[in-house]
Amino acid sequence: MAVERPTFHESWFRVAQLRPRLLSSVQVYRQHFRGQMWYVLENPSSNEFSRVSSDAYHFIGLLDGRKTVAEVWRICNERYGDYAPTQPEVIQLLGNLYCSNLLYAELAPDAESLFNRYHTRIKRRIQGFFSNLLFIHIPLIDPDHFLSRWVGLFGLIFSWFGLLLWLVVISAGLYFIVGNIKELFFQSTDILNPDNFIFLYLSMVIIKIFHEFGHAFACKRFGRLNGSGGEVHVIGIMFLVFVPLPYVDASSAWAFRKKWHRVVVGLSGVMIELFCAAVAAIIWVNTSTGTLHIISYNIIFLASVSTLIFNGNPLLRFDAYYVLSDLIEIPNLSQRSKNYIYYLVKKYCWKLKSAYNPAHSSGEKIWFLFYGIASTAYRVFICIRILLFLNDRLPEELFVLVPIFAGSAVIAWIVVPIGKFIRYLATSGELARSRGVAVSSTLAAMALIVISVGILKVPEYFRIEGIVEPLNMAVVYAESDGFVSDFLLSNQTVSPDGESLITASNPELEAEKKGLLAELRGFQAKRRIAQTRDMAEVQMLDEQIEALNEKIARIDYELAALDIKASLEGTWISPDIDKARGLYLSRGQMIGLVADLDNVFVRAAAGQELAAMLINHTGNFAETNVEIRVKGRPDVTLSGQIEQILPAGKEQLPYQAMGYAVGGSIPTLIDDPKGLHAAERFFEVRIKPHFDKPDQLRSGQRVVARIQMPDRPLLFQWWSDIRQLFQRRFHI
Amino acid sequence: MAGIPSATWQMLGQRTSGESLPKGLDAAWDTGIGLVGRAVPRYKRFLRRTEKILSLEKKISEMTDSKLRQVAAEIREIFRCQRDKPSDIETAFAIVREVAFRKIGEKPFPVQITGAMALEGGCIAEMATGEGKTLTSTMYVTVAGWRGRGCHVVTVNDYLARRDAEWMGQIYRFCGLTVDYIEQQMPPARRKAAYMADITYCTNKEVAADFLRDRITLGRLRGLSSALVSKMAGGAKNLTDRLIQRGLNCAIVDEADSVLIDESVTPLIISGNAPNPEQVESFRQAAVIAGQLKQEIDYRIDHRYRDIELTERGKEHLAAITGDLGGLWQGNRRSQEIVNRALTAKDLYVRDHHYVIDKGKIVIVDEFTGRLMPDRTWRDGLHQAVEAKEALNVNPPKDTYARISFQRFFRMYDRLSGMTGTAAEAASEFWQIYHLPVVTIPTNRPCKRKNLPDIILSNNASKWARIVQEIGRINATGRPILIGTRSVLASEHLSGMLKSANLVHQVLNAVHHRMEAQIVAEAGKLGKITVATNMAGRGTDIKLGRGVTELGGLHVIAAEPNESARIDRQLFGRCARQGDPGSAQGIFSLDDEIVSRYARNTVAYFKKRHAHSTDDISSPLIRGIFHLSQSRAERLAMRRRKNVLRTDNWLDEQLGFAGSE
Repeated sequence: MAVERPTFHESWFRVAQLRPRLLSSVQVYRQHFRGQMWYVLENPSSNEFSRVSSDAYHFIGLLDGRKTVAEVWRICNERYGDYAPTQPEVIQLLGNLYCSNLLYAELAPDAESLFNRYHTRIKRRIQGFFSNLLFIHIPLIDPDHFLSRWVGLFGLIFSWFGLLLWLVVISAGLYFIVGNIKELFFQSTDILNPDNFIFLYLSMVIIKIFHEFGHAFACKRFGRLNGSGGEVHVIGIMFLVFVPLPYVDASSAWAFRKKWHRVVVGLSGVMIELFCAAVAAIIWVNTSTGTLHIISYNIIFLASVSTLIFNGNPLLRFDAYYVLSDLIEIPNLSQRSKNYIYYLVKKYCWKLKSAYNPAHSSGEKIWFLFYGIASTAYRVFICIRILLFLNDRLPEELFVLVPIFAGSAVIAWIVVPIGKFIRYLATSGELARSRGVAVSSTLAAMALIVISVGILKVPEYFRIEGIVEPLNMAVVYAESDGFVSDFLLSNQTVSPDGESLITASNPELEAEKKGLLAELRGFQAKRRIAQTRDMAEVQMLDEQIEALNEKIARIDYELAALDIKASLEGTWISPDIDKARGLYLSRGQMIGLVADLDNVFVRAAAGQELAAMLINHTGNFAETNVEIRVKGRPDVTLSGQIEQILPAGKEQLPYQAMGYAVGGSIPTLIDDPKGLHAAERFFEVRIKPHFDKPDQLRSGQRVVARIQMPDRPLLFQWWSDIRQLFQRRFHI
Repeated sequence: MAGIPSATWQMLGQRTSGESLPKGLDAAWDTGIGLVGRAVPRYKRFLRRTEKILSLEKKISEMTDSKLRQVAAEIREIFRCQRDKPSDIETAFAIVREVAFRKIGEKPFPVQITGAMALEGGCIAEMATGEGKTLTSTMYVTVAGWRGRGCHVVTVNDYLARRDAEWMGQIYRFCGLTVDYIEQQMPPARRKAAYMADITYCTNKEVAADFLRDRITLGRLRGLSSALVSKMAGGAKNLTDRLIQRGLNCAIVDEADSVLIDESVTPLIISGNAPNPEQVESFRQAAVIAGQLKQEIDYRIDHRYRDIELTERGKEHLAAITGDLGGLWQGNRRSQEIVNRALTAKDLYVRDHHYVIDKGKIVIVDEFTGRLMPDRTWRDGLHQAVEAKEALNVNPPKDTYARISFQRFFRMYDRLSGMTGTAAEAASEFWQIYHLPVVTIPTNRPCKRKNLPDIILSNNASKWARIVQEIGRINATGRPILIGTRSVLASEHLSGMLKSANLVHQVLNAVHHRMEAQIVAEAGKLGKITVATNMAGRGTDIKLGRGVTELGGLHVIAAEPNESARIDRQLFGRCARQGDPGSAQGIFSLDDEIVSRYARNTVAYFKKRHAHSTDDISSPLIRGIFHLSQSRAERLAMRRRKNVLRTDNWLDEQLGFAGSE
């Protein structure tokens, strides 16, 4: 029946004649949440709570152990009309109170159901233990007495004076940290070294002890100020990811009347941690080596990280979350946000009429929407960040942990929820009428995801760095010795029939040539004389003249070589030429080069993985799209194409600029002083750019080439990324 | 303490609820086991043992009566001490078989022995009607009686309980057992004596009601421990003497599918009058107000889920009408609730379909079976709303003193088994809720029923025309015909059509239920036409008249598919029993409720396609839609029943302080 709150319940007869009442030890507190009155019922002996609305409390309040449930129900109906709880609501309410051990009914429940309840509780605890294997709590002792004795002293921390002290120390700590921020970051690379683990753990224990006692004392102190409550009965060990750490149960702060008391108790742990971090910062700056230095560094690291990322961040369900939830007066924020988002789906996507809206006011709706989305996004983000952090920083031998973490995260956040969701879709009674819509819209959404991730092909890009090189280039060497007499300044366009690049003179050669010419003239004179007398002599002289001529020709050639011309059209590059006047050139010396700057190509180095993919996937290089960007000049973007991938792997980089040592992207061997020996073999990729304007690329420039691979579905792209990540770490 | 009989101890030690249903992965595992169990043929195992029993026949048949008694007494001791081995069961069955032959002149057939084996194995034995289920059960019941903890044989009605107890009693008494039966009018002392017998024949209603009465007697004294304490304290002197039952140990349920499934969630309620003139008045007023509200403006009807929803306008309208009525009309929520009931009664409950008026009282017609349910009332004020609508005397809702559903009740038995004609379709439910596997026992003689392919028509009008035509055709040959309809209305409608076709016929429906047995007995005679709601007269054989066998036996027509294929099979099972010839056929239309509810869109498409056809449009695809809708309905119903059980268990847990149900 489409009646929202049916009045009657068929099992009403089971409770109607009972005369239950609240246990005498139950304490009741009033709390306001977003303008609504709520009542918190607390059983101090078992530390169990239940929160009921004021309508429900009116009902409970009338149960005095003398009136029957039916009588009370009738009274409520007369008094409160529509607001009185209906029979099903009363049954639910009494059941909840009974299950929280807050209700006293005059008859002893039958033994079997008692045992059943006990067994289910034990079973639930065991299940909780295993499903929460990463956060096991083991209660140990009751510290209440100890805390009561010392709260007079340590409780003062949570006073105005304490706050002042805290501010002072925090500012001092900040001051020191800001001054040494570089060193602080530099040291962080060592934080997960196995050598450091013992210190890390020690620091963690120290911090957590302070943290937990912060909660405990704050709770105690405000309990004392209030005159009641604030009892802390459990201190124990929590195995956070199997690492034993202390914990304290300060949940009795829940019942504090003043909101800011509850807030301070919630934040006390974080505040104390930050305080520790500040003190540690002061110590760290003022020591240079030694255990104290290391530990204080670790404390700074842990306290700040754990505060910023975990405890101090309301998006995760740690301290700050509870504080936020209290501040905005929305209890159970996280769960209800989730429910609200489910509600939106149920109501608007599935058109479920009976969907239960967990939001009581419009303010809550906004919070729920915001928090539900933000916390989920943050959780995913933080999980991935942690995995990447571990991936980067964890030493080889502990690397197994990464897939374990990743696997458990996938199971806990993807597999289990999906399983539950499928079960819900298939069997939920709530969906009975709109299962078709729900299933089909879910399938549609899934199909959309599968298509967009697994089928829809999207371009895949890789980036490699390269150096621009001219296609045609001639190195200009001195071909003969000589003193530079004239030269062309660098960066001018030259051509083979243009001006000389450099002109040199060699007086020695010229003198030799003069001597030889004189000798030649002598021989020629002798020959004229001999012609008339002795033919045999003429013949001999001819040979001598011939030899001399040859000598002269050679000298002429050498002299001509002193006037160097460009061998190809291009730009004359010789940066130091302006200092060359009068310089002695010796044969074979490099003077500069002539390069055709209009025709350049990019020489890039691709790692093995990329090269393999390029060779596999791009059978036809000419069709590969490459986008070239010049480092330092974001305005220039050129297209290009791969011309060639040199098939053999190389180890020697063509330019230093490509290597890590001088800021390139290819890791080089540390012991190679020149920084040219790549740590891993690479493949040279030659890319031909297409210019639309001249002069866009300069030879020697460092560029980034974005290579567009053939389109592939995202899923395959991610999968090969993950595989490569693992392969690299495990050297499979 | 010493004076308390052991039966009372058993009663006090009775567990208060059945095993809770498994959840999550456990449930999947359990379902899986049930599926595997179905694939493993139990039947063959039972058959092997049956052969052993048959081989004992010669030896036992040579014994004298006194010798037989003596052997029975010996083996009884073995069972009483719970030292029985499998071979003892075989011997025991062989003995009972011989006793049955000597005492009532019937010797159980091998298939009946196999059925008894299945009962002993804690199964549901599926045996076709007319195969002698009563005789089958004797073998197992005797053994259960020998075990000495009581055995309830649950039958469908008082008449059967008494008949079987008297008829089979001869066998039991020969075997040294006492046997008794429970009837509706018996006083408590007589009942107590009946329950103390080794074997008690009773109906499900009586046995559950007695159980509840005992619970009320025990009051808050639940469980052995608290009873002992109160006994010691002397507070409950005569308490244990007032108890009627001796604990739920062993039960055999006849027509198990109807008791354990169809009726399983109907609660049995012990209630008392609680006059409430104010409420009665408000129901009358609500009926008037419901007449003032307009459909689609003030409220909307969801026929698929049989639901009424007030619109915002309707709520305002209602508030305006009830503004100065006072009393229960003060609160908006309450008045909306009452009017909702009145509207439901007005628009969704149809006279002669959902209920009939009998002697100034509303009598519910069971939706599944078409039977009258005089003890049943609708819940949550709906019954009163219907009474107010029909301007009858409005009886205020009664005060509940105790309540249990048959589902929960039968789950409390330590040893439960059952027999029925149709169980295979519900095998998964029998397994998941009662942990009872289903064993199909073949008929003694091969079944000669011809199942003709269903005829499917595009709309109701042509369906009825076709049915009348078929009836005329077959009637001309002289064969008797039985037509099963789902509702009283349909049977009256058909009756009218037959009248105008000048076909002489008998109508057997909830309205004419007094002549039930007589009409059914006549239905097999030459040239008879009987129109019946599906379940009318179930349990009574239709014996073929003289000369009918040669003509081809009884012909059964189903005029509408039921929510469950099981019920269809029950209807078809009324012909061709015990080796007789017979034929059965369904004549359905696309207007039938089941398909228009569970395959709306597909049916709409086919209706459009065959809009002008008045002929048979059946094709494997369309028949498939009917099957699919049926299995969908079955699955939904099973889920609903499971949820009821789950909710009950949850409530039990929550209301632990209030004692168990």
